[in-house]
Amino acid sequence: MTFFLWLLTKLEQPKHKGNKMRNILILNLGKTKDLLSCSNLISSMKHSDPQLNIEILTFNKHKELTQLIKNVSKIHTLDDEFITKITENPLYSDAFALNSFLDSIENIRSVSWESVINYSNDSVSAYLASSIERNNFLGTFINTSGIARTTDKWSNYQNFVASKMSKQVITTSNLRCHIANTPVLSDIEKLSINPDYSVVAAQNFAKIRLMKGSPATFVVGLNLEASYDDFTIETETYAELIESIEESTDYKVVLLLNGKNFQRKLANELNSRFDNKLISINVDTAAITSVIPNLDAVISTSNDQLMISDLMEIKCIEIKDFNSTHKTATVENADNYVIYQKNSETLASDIIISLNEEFGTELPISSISSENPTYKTINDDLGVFLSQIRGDIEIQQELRYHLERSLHMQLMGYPKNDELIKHIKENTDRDELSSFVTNLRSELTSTVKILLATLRSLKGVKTSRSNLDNFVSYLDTLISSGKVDNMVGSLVRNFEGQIENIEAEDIDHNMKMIEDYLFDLKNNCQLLTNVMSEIVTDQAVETKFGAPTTNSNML
Amino acid sequence: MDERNSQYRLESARSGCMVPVINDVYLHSIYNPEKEAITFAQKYESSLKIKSSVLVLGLGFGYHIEEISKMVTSFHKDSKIFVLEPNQRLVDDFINSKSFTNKNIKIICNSSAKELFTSLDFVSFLMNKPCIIKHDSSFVVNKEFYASVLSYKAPTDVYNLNKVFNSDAKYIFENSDATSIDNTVEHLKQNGLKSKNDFLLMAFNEIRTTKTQR
Repeated sequence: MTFFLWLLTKLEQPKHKGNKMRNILILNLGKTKDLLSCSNLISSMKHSDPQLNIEILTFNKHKELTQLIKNVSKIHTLDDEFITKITENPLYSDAFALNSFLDSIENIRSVSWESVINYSNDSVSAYLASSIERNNFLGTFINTSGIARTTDKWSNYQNFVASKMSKQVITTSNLRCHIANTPVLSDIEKLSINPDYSVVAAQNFAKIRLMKGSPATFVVGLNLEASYDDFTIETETYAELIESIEESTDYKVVLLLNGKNFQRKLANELNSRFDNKLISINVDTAAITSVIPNLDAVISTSNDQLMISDLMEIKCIEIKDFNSTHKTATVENADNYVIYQKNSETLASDIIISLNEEFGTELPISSISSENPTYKTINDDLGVFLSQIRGDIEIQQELRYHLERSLHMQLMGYPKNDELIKHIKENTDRDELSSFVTNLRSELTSTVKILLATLRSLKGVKTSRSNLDNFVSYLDTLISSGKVDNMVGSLVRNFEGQIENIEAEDIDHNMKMIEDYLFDLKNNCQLLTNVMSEIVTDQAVETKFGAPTTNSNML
Repeated sequence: MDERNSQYRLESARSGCMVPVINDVYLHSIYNPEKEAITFAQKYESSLKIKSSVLVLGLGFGYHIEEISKMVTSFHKDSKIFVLEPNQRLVDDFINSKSFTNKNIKIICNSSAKELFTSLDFVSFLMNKPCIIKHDSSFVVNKEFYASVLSYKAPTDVYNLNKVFNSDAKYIFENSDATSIDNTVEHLKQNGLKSKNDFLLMAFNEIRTTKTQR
């Protein structure tokens, strides 16, 4: 069903997107999570066309990690650390930095690529995109005026809408596979495994399982690495967790370390509490893909090890700091757990409850109630999403998350999610719904006012060019209103991206395109109004622009 | 004749070791240069424990460098020593009479700081933040040169950058009126990007101005 829906949306894509890719270059000059995430796209592309030659450009410091990605025929690297060290120090000539940069990309520039993809959506790749010979480019690029342009509605969404969201409603791999016109496939190998290491790892894990007397023992990996934003699980939480797991006959715990001193110290501290009986396992880059498949579950903060576990389709329990600005989960496969830590005292119980739920066990817990919101990742026709299953619930935020996801997927061409509306209506407190609608209406009202004023001023420009300044002023105000991270702001930012993409030959054509996009925005606001109406169907929605209505006449 | 060699000679110390004398300055002890070298190296023991790369300012006749080499190799499996000496005659005499057995010691003979910093090999070595050891008597003899090295700032103008640029980089600035990379970047930001090279330069600029995250 998901594949069918994907196909349906692709039928609407411009014709140039139908080009068959042969020689593909993936620009990946972002963070390590961008790098690991692109294994989803690469495996799907290679699965669809085994003849593809896929090469990656990444940073030198990420080369070892890139080697884990399957189906990459060549890795090109840029030494950004050398370049920044040279340019930051007045002692050294910047010429060395430029020489290094040009030498690094010499091979890339000598090839004519069928397709080049700015996977990590970074500014270096966006500039590079225009300096490389290619038939087709996908993602964000910089045009001759130095303005960011996007190649399709998905990359427009990524660059202008998603980049300003604190919690993503469409998963990164889903979004980027759409940009590359490739379906997201699961159940295919994405990372390379060293067969020699794997044999040894499998033998060792068989022994570890037997330590609890049964080859069916669940082995749980506690990853001691910190998160991308340096959040760590507290020692007491680890200790409580280990105590419960080790006392059980169902489970055996192993500590996962990748060579950092703070991890060794933590492992020593935990070992001292458990009579030096804990098993520590090395999960550095060379070993990790051989170790992870032997685990039944990984408990970790958001980091590369967790991401690799998720890519290898191992059950993950992701722990995030509730107060972090990075709200988006790292795990992207279905049936994983994401716990946002508000209160560390109940975190161990929350993790144990998730283990019990996943493996049908009955590990004891010290606390039944918890403030920590726990989510389960669920797959539906639109991809994977987070569904809250325990903890303090902030209904307004949850409503926004689910409705915004549904709205944007609808704008991308997916069918309207009537099931979601029905579910929300049936399961949400009426007062909460009213409150949500009131807030949304307030967001909509102020934006729609500016939108209508912009449209009126555009009419003025048609009568006289002297009204142009007035129009530009309204347009600027409208675009500024999109800076707010809310549902209406997302629609305005989508419009902003469309405007940035206009390549008109003359001012009349330019004005016509802007007008079309303004009407698009108006329609999208209407769509949001409809959603608002539907979730309170038997309650009339009072609008600023006319009589109370229950349908789509607001605008 | 090089001015710095106007009064250059080699004398024999009481121990039999050769000692260069430049402008009446003895570069080593006239009694026992080898013993002096041991004491000299011991002063840097704590630094050499931490750093495996060493930059020695002044070759002398190498006694102090031999001792530094012994010490650093006892602490580190892989070590590298660069010796900076502007006096070509001294370097020639040293190489002809003894030279170093440790292949990881490299003598760089250059009398211009500007030229010295056009060597990628030297710059790459410096980027490892080596332990810098000043051989006092050598430093006194060539104070101006060593001071210019220690206070050096790389020129940023295109004319001087061109001396280091590879052919691709030279091509980017060919027929350009730009005076520096910064100046070119500003020009592109204001006037738009026309060629593939313009995009390349802006991509380079993004890397040098943006700290990438893990």
